[in-house]
Amino acid sequence: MVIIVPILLFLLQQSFLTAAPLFFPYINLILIYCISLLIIVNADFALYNTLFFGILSDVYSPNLFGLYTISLMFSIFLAHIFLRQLFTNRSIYTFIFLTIIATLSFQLCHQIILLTANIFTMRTTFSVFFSQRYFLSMLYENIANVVVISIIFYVVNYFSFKLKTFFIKI
Amino acid sequence: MRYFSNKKIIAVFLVALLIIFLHYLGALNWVERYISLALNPAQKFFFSQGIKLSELYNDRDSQNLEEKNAALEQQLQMLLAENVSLHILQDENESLRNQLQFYEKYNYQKKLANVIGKTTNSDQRQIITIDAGLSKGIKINQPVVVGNGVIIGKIIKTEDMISYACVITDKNCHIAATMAKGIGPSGLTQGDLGLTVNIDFVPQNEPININDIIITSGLEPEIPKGLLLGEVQDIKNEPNNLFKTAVINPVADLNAISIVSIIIN
Repeated sequence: MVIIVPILLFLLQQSFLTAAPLFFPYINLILIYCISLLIIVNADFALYNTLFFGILSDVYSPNLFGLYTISLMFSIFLAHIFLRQLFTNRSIYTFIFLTIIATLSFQLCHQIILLTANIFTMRTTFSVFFSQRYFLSMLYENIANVVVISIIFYVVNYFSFKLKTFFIKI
Repeated sequence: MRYFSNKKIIAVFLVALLIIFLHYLGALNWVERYISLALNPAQKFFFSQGIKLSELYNDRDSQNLEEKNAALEQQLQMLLAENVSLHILQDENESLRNQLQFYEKYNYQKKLANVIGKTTNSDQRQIITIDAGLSKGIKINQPVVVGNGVIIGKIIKTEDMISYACVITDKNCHIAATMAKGIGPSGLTQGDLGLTVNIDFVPQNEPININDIIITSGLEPEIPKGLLLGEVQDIKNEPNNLFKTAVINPVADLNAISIVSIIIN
């Protein structure tokens, strides 16, 4: 399960969602899965999965090798710092906030590395990377990811006690 | 750093750096090859399911459009423009037939490949991943075609088992193009917003009209002349500008491509 589920998720992300219509291509299933692991399981397990997904994505990426690995690890690391610093419980707000943080930091890190690499090779300019279209797609991606993580939260909450609040009886 | 267990996080980061380093040394080629071998069939399956879902959605969408279209058709019947359209279609047909004859005449060597992935929207690129690479003779800049010689892009990166091709609607995908009727401008195409293709810097005095057929010019060594690109949809003409821009509508449905051919010779 530890291997099959990530591979299935990767295939869904890489091949199914990119070809699907509507908002589906905006969903970053890998990021959502890593954030879910970070909150529900633990940080170490999330980090191992992040490394696995990063390498696999890099193998199938036309861009620089390592781009996805570094961006994903950076975003999960940042999300973990926020989780520990700002949140005391694992509510829907935690899920949503961390998803937004992870999506933004992933995109930003991804674009900055690409931009740096492209400036060195004189292939493109700043305006191409940070265009209106880029910010719009970032917004759509955030919305899509928040919708999916909210569904995941309610599904996990329905089947498990892990995210439910509990009170100590005195 | 103190939030993760220190040793584990350092180990994971080191492993990541080591893998990246080994990749650039070429020491992981065989691993990547096996990953591609193992995952390509599954990717093909998932991609085709995605395309099916996309077509299902488009069909449903077109059903709604059909009702609107029926109402518009009644108006259209009163117009004599139909006659003009038929003439245009006749010209197009002739041009396309010429394309086909040209394509068959030279008998190019082609390699069939499946599309197994696309870049996401946030990448702002229009790149497809195909399941054929260096091992099948695929090289950079070779044209990617569908049907009978309709070019949809060109190879930009190859690996052992997979290749990446930019689609003609990609902003960084440039293809040397000209007009099918022989006269008129030639230049480099550039994708626009992932939807259309532009030919910039067309001199004002060059004869170019809406519905003209655009083909590859053959000025690139790997791309033969005569591959169909699309037809002129619009001409952007600024009065004080030395040049005009031709907007081309690609012939192929670039969102529903699952099988492509790469001309390797």
